[in-house]
Amino acid sequence: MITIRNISFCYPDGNRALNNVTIDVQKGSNVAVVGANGAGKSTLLALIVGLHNLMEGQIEIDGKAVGKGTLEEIRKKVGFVFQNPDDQLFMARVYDDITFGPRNFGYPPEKIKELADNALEIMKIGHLKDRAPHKLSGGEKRNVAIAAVLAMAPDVLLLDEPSSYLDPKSRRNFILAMEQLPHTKLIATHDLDLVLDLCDRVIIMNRGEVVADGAPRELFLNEKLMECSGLELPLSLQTRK
Amino acid sequence: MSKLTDSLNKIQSLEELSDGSTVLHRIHPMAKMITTIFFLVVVISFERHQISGLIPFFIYPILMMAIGEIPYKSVLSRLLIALPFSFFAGLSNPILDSETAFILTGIPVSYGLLSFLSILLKTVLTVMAVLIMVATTPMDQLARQLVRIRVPKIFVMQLMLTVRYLTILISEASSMMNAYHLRSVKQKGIALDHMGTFLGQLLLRSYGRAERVYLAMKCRGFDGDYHFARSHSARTSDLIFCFGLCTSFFIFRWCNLRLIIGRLFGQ
Ligand SMILES: Nc1ncnc2c1ncn2[C@@H]1O[C@H](COP(=O)(O)OP(=O)(O)OP(=O)(O)O)[C@@H](O)[C@H]1O
Ligand SMILES: [Mg+2]
Repeated sequence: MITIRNISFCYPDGNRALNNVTIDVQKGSNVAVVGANGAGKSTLLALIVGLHNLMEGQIEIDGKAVGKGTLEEIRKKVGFVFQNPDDQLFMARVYDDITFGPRNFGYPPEKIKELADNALEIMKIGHLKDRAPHKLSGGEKRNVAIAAVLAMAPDVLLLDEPSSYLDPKSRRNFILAMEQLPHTKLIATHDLDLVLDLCDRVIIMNRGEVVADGAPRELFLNEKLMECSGLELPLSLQTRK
Repeated sequence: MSKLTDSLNKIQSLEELSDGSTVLHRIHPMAKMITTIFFLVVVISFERHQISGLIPFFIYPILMMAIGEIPYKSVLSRLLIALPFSFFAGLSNPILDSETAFILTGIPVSYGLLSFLSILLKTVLTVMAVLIMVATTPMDQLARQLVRIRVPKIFVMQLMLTVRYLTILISEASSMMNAYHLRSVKQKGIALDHMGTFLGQLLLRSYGRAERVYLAMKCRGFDGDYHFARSHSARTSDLIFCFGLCTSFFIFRWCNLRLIIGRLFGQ
């Protein structure tokens, strides 16, 4: 579904964020990307939806290369939840923000309403519908941001630290909701327990490079690898040791 | 709380009022817009020295605020922002034009003073009318009507995005201010030698933020064309609202009411 081949990326100020990254994500799978701060997770996700211009390598979604001509199609297929919900929410009302995507796709009003109501239902935030996004709490904003992307009915979900700001209950709700959804998911996160619960595969990044790729439980128990990548054993595995 | 956050809330609270459900809120946005524009034209069309004719027009904003359940405070406080501009713009009038128009209880009133007062009254009326419209109609509904009356879409978009950018700018500024004050407890305000960095940072940050917001919009299919949510179609009540009010503005403006009423009661 997502094919990333030998990509490298430098920010305009010369900061090298990604170096020769190759990843393949199967349709319908839940894949996590973990790594220390500044490892390049957000940059990787942003490149997949073409937010920066790729310099080296190639990214393909469903066989379509990400590039100028295909952006529209790809963004319809791939929903991206930003690391910071404030970057994403800009309408004066939660409901308007959630319908923003579907309206851009020119869906008929009934379909827009159906998509929006469904997204509100999944994230359990029906009560926030008429509130102003900038007056919500951090976690509430996060839930709205996720709902806004779900309302676009994408095939692929890119989630950048989706569980940050969430309280334990919302986090649990989020994990349950994600388990139910059939989308292909690529999740950048520091929440390794979430990875254990939700993902069948994890990619560990360090300083812009992929250092490991495999089953979460195995990789997380590899002390040397975890040490080198600046990661710590998740709580749920610590007790077992 | 910092003043910035206050003014942010002011901008936003007007927008939130527009989510109400009074009769006035439910009038079709186009009807409100035409009425408001007609009101503006009529008020502005008064001659420079006219004052008495303007007074009856205050019935409109007062009535609308009552029907729309708009708190007086929110309109008046915003009015105060606009008033100083016309105050200073009109200030030269009494000085330049000191010819006496009439004498009121022994005090000569000059034409300049009259036109000065007339400017102030007109400002109050027009600003109130626009604020009332904004407070009872959601922003994107208004924008949509602007597009429908053939205002070029690019201007309307610009307007909407400016309003959004303002929110971003102010929220960045207020969070920076808070962060600054928490770490420089003794000071009031920002020290002058920090001002340059502060403003520079603010610009960069709000720019960066605006760019990310824009990217997020693009991710959700935004292609430079804003797709407005539809409003209900116009009903008879909307027509009556618009036609009724416009007619009464017309009567108040061009028929000499005092004369008519005087005649009615004089007989
Ligand atoms: N706009 C930018 N301009 C220049 N360099 C940047 C920019 N954004 C990120 N970087 C740099 O690129 C590298 C990767 O950043 P990225 O945001 O992808 O990290 P991350 O893995 O998402 O980290 P975190 O876990 O903190 O979110 C970092 O070294 C960072 O300093
Ligand atoms: Mg990140």
